[in-house]
Amino acid sequence: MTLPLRIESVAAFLEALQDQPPDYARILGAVCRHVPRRINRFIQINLIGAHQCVNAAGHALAPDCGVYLGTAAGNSEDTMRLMRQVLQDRETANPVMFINSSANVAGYYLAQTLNLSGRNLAVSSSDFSFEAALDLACLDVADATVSMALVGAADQGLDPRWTRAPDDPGALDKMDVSAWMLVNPACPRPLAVINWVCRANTLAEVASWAMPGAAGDSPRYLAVGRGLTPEERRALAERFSDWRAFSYADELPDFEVQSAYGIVRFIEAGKPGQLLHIAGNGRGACYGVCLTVPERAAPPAPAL
Amino acid sequence: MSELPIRVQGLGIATSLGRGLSAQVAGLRQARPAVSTVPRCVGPGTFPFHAVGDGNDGSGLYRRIEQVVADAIADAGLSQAEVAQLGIFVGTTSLDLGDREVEFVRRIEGSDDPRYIKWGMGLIASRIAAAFGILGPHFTFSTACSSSGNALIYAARLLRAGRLSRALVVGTEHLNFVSLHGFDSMMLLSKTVMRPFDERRDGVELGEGTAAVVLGPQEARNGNLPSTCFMGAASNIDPQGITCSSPERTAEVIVAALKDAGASPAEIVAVKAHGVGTPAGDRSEGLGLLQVFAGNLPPVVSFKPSLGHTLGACAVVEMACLMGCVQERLLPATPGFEQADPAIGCEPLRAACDVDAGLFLLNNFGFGGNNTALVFSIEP
Repeated sequence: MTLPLRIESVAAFLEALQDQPPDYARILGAVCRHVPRRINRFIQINLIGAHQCVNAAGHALAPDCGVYLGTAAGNSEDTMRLMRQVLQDRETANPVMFINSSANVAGYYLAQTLNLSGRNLAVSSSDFSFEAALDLACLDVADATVSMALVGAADQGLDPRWTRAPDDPGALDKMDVSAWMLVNPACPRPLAVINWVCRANTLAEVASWAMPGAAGDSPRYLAVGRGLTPEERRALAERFSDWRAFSYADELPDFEVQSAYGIVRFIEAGKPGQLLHIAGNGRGACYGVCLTVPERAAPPAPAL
Repeated sequence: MSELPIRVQGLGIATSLGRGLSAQVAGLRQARPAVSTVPRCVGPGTFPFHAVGDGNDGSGLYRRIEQVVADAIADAGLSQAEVAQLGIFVGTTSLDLGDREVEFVRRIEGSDDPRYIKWGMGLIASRIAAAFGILGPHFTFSTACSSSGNALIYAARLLRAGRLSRALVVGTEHLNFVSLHGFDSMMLLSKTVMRPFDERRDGVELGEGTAAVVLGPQEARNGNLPSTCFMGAASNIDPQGITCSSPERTAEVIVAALKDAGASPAEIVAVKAHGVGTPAGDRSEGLGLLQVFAGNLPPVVSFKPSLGHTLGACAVVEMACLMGCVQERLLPATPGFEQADPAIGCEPLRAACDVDAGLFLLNNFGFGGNNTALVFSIEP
């Protein structure tokens, strides 16, 4: 495909779930002019992250801008509630909850609030859901099927009252995460450029894409995502021993869509250099994302 | 449009009409819906439902999927080395919810804690990969009733980009009570019978089904399959129509698909409509078709009265059915259609007619305003 592709803006939203549900309506109201009514938490976290990303770009999106939402579990909470409502409590299914339980309805509300009418996907690839969404978006942007792409990943923390057995604290799932990037080939000053997105059945194959010297004098960073075996992690450490480590594990230890969060956090940090992010599925397959954050010219001095 | 042809090389299917392509054609030819009933969970009575009837309940959905995928792979005549290189593209809206419901009920009836239910949108694709030794990438599309339409579109895109040598596209949907009661609570289920585009239409009947196709650039090795080639497609969203797109957006996606296929409306031999049987849905589709085809609308068919609405699976399921029909040079009647709706002006076939090779338009529209239109060339 025709890469690199320019990333104009990014945003990451992370909320640790407490005893009381977060006030997402208030947060969303601060970033989105017309907040849709009767939306659930999964839709809210998608809207918050995506609108933060679009607001950072500072301009309206082209109507044909594609939306590519990667998610490992979609709107699992409402589906679980519906199952309980119908099968256990023998109550009529809530029609709003039912329609909102489709994973693609988050993309629908994104399209509605951003005036978009192009492609709009909710896609999953288990451990690689963000990478899959990014891969398809790059394909569409590279051949101008869409003029720009809003690419993100979101998964909701699961309320233990619904989904966790008492002996499984599920602490790592008690987070709502939504991370987004706007891929815009016409952006004059990109925050980063995507060099390649690659899936392979061996770590060695993905690693071979990281050509020595490709980044010039810029620092190179390696981010190790989830799903890699200890052996694969050791192999990476040896293969890229002269690369700096970029870790976001302290912020988001283990979550299906953590790749999106980690990559966005690297871009937000604004460190010039190349990032290679590699995630695995624990069974050999790997997905690599390589991007470069360019040196930023100093802003022009204000006119006196 | 790329020059690289994307052909259907193998096919497997199981619906309420039976297993295999000939069973679909026989059922569609009879125009006698194979509808049964399932008991309601809430309140007395039953729902009409087009059940597969293979003895697999919700907990057997993986077995059913694996049977259909095995049929498709055998039909394509793939070696294990070729199977290993497949990419998997699944389109489904309820995922494996039927299986989860069985597990949930077992737990609330037993002593297990009913809260622990593992979720994962990619589980079906992962299970297919594990069962058949497939090492390629897998994607699961969940865009409501256009899900497997998007799966077909992106399988073709990755094939044309040279990223894959072959793709396995699976549309699958299974009995689950959340969907049945959800459609019921939205008052979208028919209280009579499905009558797509009929003035008296009052809703949809749900069904289950799984279809799998192997796509690739080579001609099918199985001489019994009609020569079927993906020509082009489009996908869009109507951001003002969460349950139903407008006629304008419907027309837009059809026009874009024709453009992608390099085809004019006059070249379309027949339209396999989404034909869902709801008042608003059929109105939008009918008016959208008339915007595109004006006074030259080719024959229109809807398979849903025979199959039930198989939701996220319907694009692949109904494409397979259309292939089977064209193979036998048949365009079947749309059961239930009797009285044209003057507010639409689009009439599906009242009686079966002959059809020859040519380009076919296949529409699929879903909740969340998500639309796909596909153009296939099919030769008997």
